[in-house]
Amino acid sequence: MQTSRSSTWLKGFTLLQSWNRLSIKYKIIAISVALISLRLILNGNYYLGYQQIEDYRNFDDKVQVLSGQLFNFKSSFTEIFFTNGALPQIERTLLQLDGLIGTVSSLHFQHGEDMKFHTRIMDLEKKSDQLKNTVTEVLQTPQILRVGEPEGMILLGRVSAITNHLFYDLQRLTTDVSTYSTDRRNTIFNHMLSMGMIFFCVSILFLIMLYRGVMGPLKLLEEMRRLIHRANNGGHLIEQLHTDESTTEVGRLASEFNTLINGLNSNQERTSRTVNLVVEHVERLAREVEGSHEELRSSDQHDTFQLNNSILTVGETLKSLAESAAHIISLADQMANQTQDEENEGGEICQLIRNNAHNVLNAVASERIALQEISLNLKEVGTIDKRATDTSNLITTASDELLYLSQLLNSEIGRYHTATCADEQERHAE
Amino acid sequence: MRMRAFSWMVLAIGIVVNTVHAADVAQETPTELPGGFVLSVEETRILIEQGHIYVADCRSAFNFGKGHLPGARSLEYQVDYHIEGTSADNPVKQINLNNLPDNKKNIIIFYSHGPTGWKSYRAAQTAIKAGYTQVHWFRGGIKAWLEAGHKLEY
Repeated sequence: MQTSRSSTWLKGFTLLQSWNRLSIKYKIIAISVALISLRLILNGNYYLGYQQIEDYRNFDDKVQVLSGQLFNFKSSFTEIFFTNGALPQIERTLLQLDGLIGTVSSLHFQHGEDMKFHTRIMDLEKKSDQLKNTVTEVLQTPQILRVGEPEGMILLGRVSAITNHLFYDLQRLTTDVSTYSTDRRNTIFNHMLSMGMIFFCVSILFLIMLYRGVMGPLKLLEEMRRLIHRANNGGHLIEQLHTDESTTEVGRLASEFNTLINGLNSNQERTSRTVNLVVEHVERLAREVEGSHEELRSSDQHDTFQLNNSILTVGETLKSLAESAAHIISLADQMANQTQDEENEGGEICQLIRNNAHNVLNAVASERIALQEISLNLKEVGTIDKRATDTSNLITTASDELLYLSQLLNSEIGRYHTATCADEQERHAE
Repeated sequence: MRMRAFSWMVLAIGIVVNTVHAADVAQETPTELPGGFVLSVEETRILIEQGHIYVADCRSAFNFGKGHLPGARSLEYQVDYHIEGTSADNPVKQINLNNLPDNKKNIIIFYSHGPTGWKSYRAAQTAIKAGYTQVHWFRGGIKAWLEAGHKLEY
């Protein structure tokens, strides 16, 4: 249960993504804190290591001081015998002995707990106590403090032996402390060196992270500038910035920029579709106008031609009718002249014929009037036809203009698609 | 050329003098003591542990003070001006027989620095001459005692 919950919590979590999502401000704060912490830790380690080295160096110095004190004491104590127990010499020796005992006590107090040197310091203390007792014993009997006194010489030898042993112990302690101090110093130095190197590498890593954290979003700004520059120079804003769900300041700016580009792109596409529709509509309209005009013009011409032909035919017919009627009238007159005598029979017929011919002439006349009206009408039709021709020319011109406009729009759309494809290719290439 | 020959000559003289001096220094004591007994380190240790013996350190008091065998007493082999004929020009070294036990049958062990320590040898001879019957000489001395790993007493 715990595992599934933790896996759910960890699902989709990566350090890099989380880091990228972090604001630049927090990145700088986090890395500054990390670097300062590293520096403090390093300083602390350095301080502790330095303190340890200093401790051992003080220890070493103190042992050297003790060695010097012991040497001075030995010289002083020996001089007691050669001065036959002179009081100032004894007092000086006692002072030196006190100093020596004090240094041993100080060593015991400061470094007695250090188990590496515990035994040696205990030996030192034991021997210094022995020395103190011996010297005290010697000084209680000042009459033996002479070179010629065997007991004095024995005590002197004993003190010498004890001081020699103290020297020997001190030498061993000095060697041990120096060796250990050197080893410890080397160890601490190596430790500090490795720690320093590790901290240096971690600091470099942090600096790289900081650089990437700061410069990464700035790349978005550069890319944004490039896109705007391209758009200003006739390019298109089809390309978007890669923000990787960044919540940094620049990442949010890039997201807003992408939203803006999306809006512009959708507006541009909508405009493009509208222009396409207009172009198609204009083209269709132009074609329809052109077709209708042609049809109209051809039908008008045909009808006019047929009407003219009919009128001509009717005219010809009327003319032939009129001629026939005139001929009939002349024939009737001739017949009337020839049959003047025969008034009863021929006269009636002629009259009838004449009447008929007149009727025909009247009919022809009325037909002519009708034809004249038709001709007048035809003239009007011609005027209309001329106007229609003018209108047709205007429509043709308009359709040509529309076609040119549609070609321009088409070329613009084509250029737009070409630029879009070029952007896509360039983006893929990048 | 002369300088080189002189240098070689000085070097040769130095070597000869040093060798003679070293031979003088390194002259060892006899391995036997007429009228007495020569002890080894172990025998000395056993006798010391048994007790009731007199251990005489024939070295100087100063060296005795620097360390001696357990229970030893300082019996320095030194110039005894009480002996007749002893003077600064003719120093006669001797042990103070007054410091030796009165009972001449007591076991006495003499020792000094080591095999080259003539003091103990001569002190033992003196004791034998004085009538002591149980004179022992620890020829190895302090050197053999320390080499055997035994401790000294202060």
